[in-house]
Amino acid sequence: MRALTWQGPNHLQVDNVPDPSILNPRDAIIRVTLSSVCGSDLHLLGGYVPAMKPGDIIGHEFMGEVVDVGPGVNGLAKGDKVITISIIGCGQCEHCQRDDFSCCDNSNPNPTATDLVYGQPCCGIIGYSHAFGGYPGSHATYIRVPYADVNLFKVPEGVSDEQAVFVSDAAPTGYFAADNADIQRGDTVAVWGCGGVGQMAICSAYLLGAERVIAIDRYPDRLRLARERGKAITINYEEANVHEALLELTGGRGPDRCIDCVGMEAHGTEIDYAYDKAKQMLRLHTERGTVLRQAIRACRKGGTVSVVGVYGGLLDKFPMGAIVNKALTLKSGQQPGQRYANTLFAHIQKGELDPSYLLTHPMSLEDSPQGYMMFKEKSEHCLRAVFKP
Amino acid sequence: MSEQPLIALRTDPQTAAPGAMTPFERGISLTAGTAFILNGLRRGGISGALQAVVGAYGLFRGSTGRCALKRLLTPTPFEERFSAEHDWPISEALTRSVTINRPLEDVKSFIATPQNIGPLLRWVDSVEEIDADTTCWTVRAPAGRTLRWTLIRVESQDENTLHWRTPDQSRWQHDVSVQMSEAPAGRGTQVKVVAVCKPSLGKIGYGLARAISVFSDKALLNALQAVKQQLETGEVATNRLHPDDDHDFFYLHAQTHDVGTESNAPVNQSSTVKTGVSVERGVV
Repeated sequence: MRALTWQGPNHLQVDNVPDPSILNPRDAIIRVTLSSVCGSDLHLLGGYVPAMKPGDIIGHEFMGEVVDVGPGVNGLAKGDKVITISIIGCGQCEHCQRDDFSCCDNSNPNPTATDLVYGQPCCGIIGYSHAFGGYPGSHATYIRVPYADVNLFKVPEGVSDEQAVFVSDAAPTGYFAADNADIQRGDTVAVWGCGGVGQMAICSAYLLGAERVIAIDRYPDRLRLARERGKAITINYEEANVHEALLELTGGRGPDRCIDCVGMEAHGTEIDYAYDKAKQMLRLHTERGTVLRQAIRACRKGGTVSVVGVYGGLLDKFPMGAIVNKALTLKSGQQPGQRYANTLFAHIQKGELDPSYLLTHPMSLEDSPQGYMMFKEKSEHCLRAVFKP
Repeated sequence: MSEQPLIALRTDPQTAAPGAMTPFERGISLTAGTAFILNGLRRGGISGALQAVVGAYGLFRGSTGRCALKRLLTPTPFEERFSAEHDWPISEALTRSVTINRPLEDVKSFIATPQNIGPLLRWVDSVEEIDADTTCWTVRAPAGRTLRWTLIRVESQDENTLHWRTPDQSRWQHDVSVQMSEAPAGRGTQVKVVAVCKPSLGKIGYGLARAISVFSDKALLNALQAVKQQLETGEVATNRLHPDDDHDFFYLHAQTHDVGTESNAPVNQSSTVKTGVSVERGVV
């Protein structure tokens, strides 16, 4: 089969690789029909996640058709059109049984790396480095999905492929961010980052009761989408002081809920960005925390900061004092999409959510390296390049 | 599950802090450190600078009275107690715990049969049953080496503890216990593995064993995770594309081969079936 492989920092190529096969009773083989880039892939592409090796297949947000299932998979058959939740749950461990699928104990075949770095083994993630299991990713003709009975969801009637593919990752991540933020009726929610996840967080915040949403980014096309599709008030951080603007828009209180959809490669215009960038280049720390610091500083007293942007390691100048003295709640995590998939499909069926506008650049798998470069450079108004293997 | 003393305890409050130096050792360290600094300054250049650095560390070590190396080579309170109870000159212990979301009896009956565990681990080539209480393990080690050891099941005073030992005459003596207890609020079964080895060559052997235990600890973590996965989900997670793929990023082991055949020993058929290749079908 053909697959997009990581060969080194900023070096991708499409290769011939062996077809996957059923290895465990609860596996399924999916013929991939749509597979999207994701902002978190850029951390792999840039070499910021060390547990990659040349030849690894990347990609984790996808949909397709079931072509084979193991004997332990019930309720799925050849020909079913499905999406896969990219964060793998087993369904049987203590965490999965609490619906915390992204805390799964069993889905990572390489538990040693996260055990060493984070203190306990973390879950497996499709196509997301050997630290998170080393599973071959979805930018390929076929993919093997483990624990298929837990991680595959049939696409219901009334949901198009262009909508369904984002229920794999971007939509549940945005929804999880808003859910974690504990939004109350009348709340003002600030969302940093207007990429695919940020757009979904904006829409989800309204679905969960926000009175208004303020979106922060620097790309005019993404801010325009946040205004037009997400009904958000927008701030371009290259044109305004974000902290002052947020206080001005909230009567000096600050947003009730702040959502970080950016993560470890945040950009900024202030001195802390230059400091972070220099330390990151010298490998003295791994994260650029501009957005997280802004969110914590801006959030109103007693508010919630919800983090779904990916952070991988160590962050300097973390404002713990603001968290303690403003009584903030900080919540985060990888998305447990198994908890939200059916809810999201229902919102789509009712016309309350339409993620299809994230798909700006459909492409063939052969063009995927160019698609990633376009996505990385945010050129041609690329919000999501989606490959058709 | 007995928690006293914790294996993680590094300092016994009843005795001197680990790494504490005697007055004689401090005197030697201060004298040697001063000599190195003076000689380093006299010689100059890179070698002189290195000597000065070594000397400065000697002065620091002598003045604080704490030696990091001595601390590393000091057995923990648990190891001291284990050595005394088993009449071993020195012992080195390794422990890992995991909680398995299954009833205690299920976990116990699974672990009580070592032949259940071998097929779950990629670096175990075979677990051969010698008699009702004795098994012979053949394991692939890095650099293409093959290791074998025999484990004998011994009686335990606690009904929820399983206990194995290597034979008394074996070169690398080990004592392995698996303690099981119910997790609070019905959250499954807590499994604590304690593996203790008897190093030769005294403190040098102890230091070597501690260095090797960095890798043994990873192997034990993987083994416990595999047992947990098997018991909770009925399979062991794998990232391979197909059965022949050995997508082994963190371990550099030799390719699988059936050493049981080489040694003409009768091998239990189940021991050669690795989880992850039990169902082999290609894409239709």
